[in-house]
Amino acid sequence: MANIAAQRIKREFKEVIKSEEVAKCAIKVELVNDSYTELKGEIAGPPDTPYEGGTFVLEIKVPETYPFNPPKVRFMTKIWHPNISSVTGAICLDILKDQWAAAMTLRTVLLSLQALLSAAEPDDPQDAVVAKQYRENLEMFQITARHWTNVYAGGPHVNSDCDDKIRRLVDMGIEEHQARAALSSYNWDLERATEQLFS
Amino acid sequence: MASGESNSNEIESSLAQESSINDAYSAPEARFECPICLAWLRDPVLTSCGHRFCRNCIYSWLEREHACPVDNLKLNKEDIFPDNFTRREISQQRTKCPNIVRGCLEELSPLDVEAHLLVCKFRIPELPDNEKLRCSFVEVGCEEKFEDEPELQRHLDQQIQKHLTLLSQAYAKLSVNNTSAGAVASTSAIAQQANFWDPPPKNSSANVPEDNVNTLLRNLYEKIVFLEQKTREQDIIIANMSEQISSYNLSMSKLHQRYCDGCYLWHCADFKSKLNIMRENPHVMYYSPGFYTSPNGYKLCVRINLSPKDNNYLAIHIHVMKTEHDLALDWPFSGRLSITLIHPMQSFKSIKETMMTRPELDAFKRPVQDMNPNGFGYKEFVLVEEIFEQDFIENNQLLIKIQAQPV
Repeated sequence: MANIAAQRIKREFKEVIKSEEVAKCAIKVELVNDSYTELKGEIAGPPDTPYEGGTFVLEIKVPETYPFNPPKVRFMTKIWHPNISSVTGAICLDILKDQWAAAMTLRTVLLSLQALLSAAEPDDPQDAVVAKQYRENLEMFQITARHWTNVYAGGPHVNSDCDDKIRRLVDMGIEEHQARAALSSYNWDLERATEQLFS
Repeated sequence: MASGESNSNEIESSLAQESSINDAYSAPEARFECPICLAWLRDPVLTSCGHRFCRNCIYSWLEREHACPVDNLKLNKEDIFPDNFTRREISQQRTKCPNIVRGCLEELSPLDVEAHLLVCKFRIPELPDNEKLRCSFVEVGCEEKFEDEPELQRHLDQQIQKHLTLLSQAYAKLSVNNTSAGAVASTSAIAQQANFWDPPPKNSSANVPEDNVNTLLRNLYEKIVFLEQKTREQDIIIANMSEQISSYNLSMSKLHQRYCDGCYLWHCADFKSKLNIMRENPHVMYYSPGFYTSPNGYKLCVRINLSPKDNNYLAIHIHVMKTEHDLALDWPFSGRLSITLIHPMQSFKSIKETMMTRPELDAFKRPVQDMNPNGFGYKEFVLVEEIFEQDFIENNQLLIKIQAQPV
C-alpha cells in the first residue's frame, strides 16, 4: 500500500475515534487487518426515519491511490433504501464516485451515508424496485424499511404481519430472506409474491 | 553542550509534556496541515480559491480532477502558487523528537521528524524483560521470552518437540514426588476422589492387607455417589408429582362446581375482614365461584354486599354467568331459586328464601359479558347484627347454600 494512503488512514482513524459522533455512538470505525487497507464502519440509523434504532455495518476498502480515489464502501447489513442495493449493499452516492474530493475523510463519508439514510434520492436510484415503491407507495416503503431494520439491523419495531407472511412462504419451502425480498418487492401481496417465487 | 545537570532537568520538565508533543507531531495545527495527506505541509502551495496543500499532493490530485479537493471549485495547475510564507513559518517550527522521554534531545523541523525517527538512537528499545511475553510452557522450564503475540505463536508452533520433552520430564518428577511423599499426603482430595473411580486392579488377590481401608473407602464413596444421584432423581419425581397433584386439585374443585346439580354450598371464608372492608367501602362486593345447575346447564354465582340503602343489612344476589354452551340453553333462564343462610349448629335457625325467576328481568337474559351485571335476590336479606347474635359465623366462615332448579 502506498505510504500516503496508509499514513492518512492512520491519521483519519484517530480523528474518527476522537470525534464527538463516536461519543454519541452515531458512527464507529474498526480495523479489519493490520495494513489499513480494509476497515469496518458502523453507523446508527438516524432518528425519525424507518432506520431508527438499527446499526448498519459497512465494508470499507481503501485503494492504493487513496485519497486521490474514493474508498470503496458497501453496506454489509441488508437494508431497504432506494440508493442502496437490497441484494449487494452497493451504494449510489455521488461523493463515492465522481464527486469525491481528496479532502474528504472516513468521518465525512460515514456522516454522508447517515444523511443519505435520512434523505433518499429516489431519482438517482441504485435499487429500482425500492425506488419505485418509495415514489408510488411511501407508506409501504416505510413499513418495509422498518421491518428490514428490525430483522437485519436490530431495530426495535417488530411487524408481526410481515413476519406471518414470511412464515407462510417459509412453510412452503422458500428460504427466509428470499421470501422477505419477494414480499417486499410486491408490497407484501402474498399472492403475487408466491406467484413470482414459483414461476 | 549543556552540562549533565541541566540536561537531566530538561528531561524531567519535558517528561510531563510527552503526550502533548506526540500529539503535536501527529496532528499539526489546521493551518499547517495538508487536507490531502493530513500531515505537515511539505513545499506548501496556495490555490486561487485560498487553500493550502503540499505541492506533490495537489499535483497528484489535479492529474485526475480539475477541481479543488476542499470546495470543488474549478482549479488548474496555473491557479497554484508556492506559499513561501507558510513554508518559512513551518521551517521555523521546532518540535522535539518523540523519543525525548528516553533521552533524545534532538530538536527538529516537523517535516524531518519522520525521517529522524527511523535513525533515532533512542528508538523504543526492546521491551524490558519483565514486560515480555513468557512462553506458555514456562512452568515446565521453557525460558524463552517474546516481544509480541505473533512471535510467541511462532515459537509455540516450532518448538512442539521441545515442549513435549519438558512436559514429560516434569511429569516424571511429579510421579516420583508422589510416591516418595506418600500417596495420601501429596494428592489432593479431588485427585483421591478420582482415584476411587479407577477400575479395581486386575490381580485383586495380590492386594496387600493395608489396602482394605482404601477398598472400604472406595465402596463407601461409590455408595454415596449412587445415593446422591438417587436423591436427585427422587427430588425431581416428587416435584413433578406435587405439580400434578396441584393441577388435579384445581380441576377437581372445578369439577365439584360443575356437578353440584344446582345445589351449591358457598363457604364464604374470612367473613369478618370481608365485612370490615365492605363497611369501609360500600362498593366492595364478594362473589362466589360459578356453579352449574347441571353439567351442561346454566352457570350461576352468588354475590354478597352491604345493602346500599341501609348498610346494616347484608344483600345476597344470584347472577347468571356466561358458559361455552349458552347456545344450547333456553333463554331467559327460568326456574326456582332458593337462598339459604345456613346455621352451623341448629338447622331450624337457618334462613331460607325461595323465589321464582321473572322472564322480563335483565338478570335472566343470556349474558353477553362474563356475568350478567344485574343480579336477582334480596337487598336486605339479613341484618348483619343478627348474623353475629344468632351465631351464624363459625370459624370466621359464613355458609350460604343456593338451590337452582330450571323449569
